[in-house]
Amino acid sequence: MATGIRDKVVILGMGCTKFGERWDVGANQLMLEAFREALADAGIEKNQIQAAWFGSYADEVSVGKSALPLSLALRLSEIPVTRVENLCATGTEAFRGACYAVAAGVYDITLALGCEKLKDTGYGGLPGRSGGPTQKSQWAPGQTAPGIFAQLASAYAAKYRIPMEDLKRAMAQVSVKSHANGSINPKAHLRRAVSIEQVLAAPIISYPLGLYDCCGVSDGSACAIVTTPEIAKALGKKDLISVKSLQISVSNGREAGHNDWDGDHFVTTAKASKRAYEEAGITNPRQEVSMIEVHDCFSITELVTMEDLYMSERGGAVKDILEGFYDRDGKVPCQIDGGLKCFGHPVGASGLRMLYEMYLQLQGRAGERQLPNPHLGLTHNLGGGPSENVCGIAIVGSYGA
Amino acid sequence: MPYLPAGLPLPQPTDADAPFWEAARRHELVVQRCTECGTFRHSPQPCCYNCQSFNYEWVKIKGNGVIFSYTNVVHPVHPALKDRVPFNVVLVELPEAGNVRIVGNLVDTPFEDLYVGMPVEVTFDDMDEGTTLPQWKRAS
Repeated sequence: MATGIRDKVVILGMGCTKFGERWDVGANQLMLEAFREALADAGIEKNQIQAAWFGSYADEVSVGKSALPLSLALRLSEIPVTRVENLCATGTEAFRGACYAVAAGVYDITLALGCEKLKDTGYGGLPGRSGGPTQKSQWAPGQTAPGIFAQLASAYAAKYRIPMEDLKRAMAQVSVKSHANGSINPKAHLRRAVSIEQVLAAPIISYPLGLYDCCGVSDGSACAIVTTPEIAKALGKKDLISVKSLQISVSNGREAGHNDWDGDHFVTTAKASKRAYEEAGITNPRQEVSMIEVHDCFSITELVTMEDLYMSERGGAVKDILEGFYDRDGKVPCQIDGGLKCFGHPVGASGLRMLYEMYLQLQGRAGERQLPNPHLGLTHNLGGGPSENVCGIAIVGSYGA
Repeated sequence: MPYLPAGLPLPQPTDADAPFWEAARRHELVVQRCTECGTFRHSPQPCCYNCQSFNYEWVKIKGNGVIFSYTNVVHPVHPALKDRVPFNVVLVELPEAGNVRIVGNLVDTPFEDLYVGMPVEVTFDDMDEGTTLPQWKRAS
């Protein structure tokens, strides 16, 4: 009988580059930068890594196809490397592969690394996708990311009969909070604080989403080295950070094909988070989880995700957000590192970047951003749009706790 | 005159949705229904999301619907739309087909008069000799 991932795998070391417009380096150097930090943190030699998972999304424009870019960049010694791609949830997918290999007892030490170099495309936003079932252009032509996520905001306001000006204010607070957090994070892409008035006065990108409701894209890389608790202890590690749950949920067409979804939330996130809490032994997430990093590609995504994670009641996220529940000094701080909005969003690296902040916080190494006494952190990594998407959730915390 | 101008890219039928477009050409509205579990679905897909069966049938409906949502498009995303904006887009719920929703344009009503819950009925725009788009008009 399967028993899940809880406490079977621990994080030995992590690394993350500064995210941003990294014109100074190529994808290879970004990978190396993240990897060197993780290797030093783990206190092992490169040749102790037995297998690797490499996550990148836009292979056409950034790092290239296959697992070769990682093996070449790090000059790995012909070990198995697997490339994974699962839209914006790619980073979590890479981490999942590395963790499962250790949990299965196949390898002692594995690596998960995500990298993306999106600024090289020369324009804003994401490059177009290449067809297949997620790109049914003849049924939904002219889609843009802000366009499809804007509909989430309209549907949410309509369903819960929330005046748009109230929803706009709550969405603005989502971004104000992330900018405040990003402003004190040296590795964040955007490091200026903004006021709620600035956010509300910004130009509209796709109604009701304004400029500050949308995250940008970035260059960056993040990685994790994982092993078993026994090996970590034998290496002299104390205060281990273990994986409590790893879940992925993927849409099957229900949302777009029928009317039992009102376009106001993420069906997959609700399913993945429920499974994740069960796997981690969490019964009351609002009370038990210390901190979260969620996929705030747009402010409204973060807002509705608070409900799909069972943190806020259905229709209750606006109130919680405006009351500061998710601020850095709130009950469950969200996007302590600035989130996608300010830390940045190099697609394939984002899931691992979220885990990096949880890992630093749990070890008391988050500097100016450090929370008083976190013991359980959740990351939520979303790929695709509201009607068809991939949701990855990871929960990490103190080993044995 | 069709609601949308000539020069727009027209649907390119696939295996899954060709019967939908063929029916539209005959000025009939059809919706896919799973023959295993009876669940309606739209847009057309080879497999049922509910029970995963590949067996389905096409159900002809009268075409009475209700506006679930709507918007007004002001940005011409294609050159052919340059002189056509603003135009409306409506999402119509079909009580005759398990309440699945279908996207179209409401061809006979000013944007100001649209409202959620408005009863509508299907009408058909022949775009050229091969393609017909199911569209919507105020219910009679």
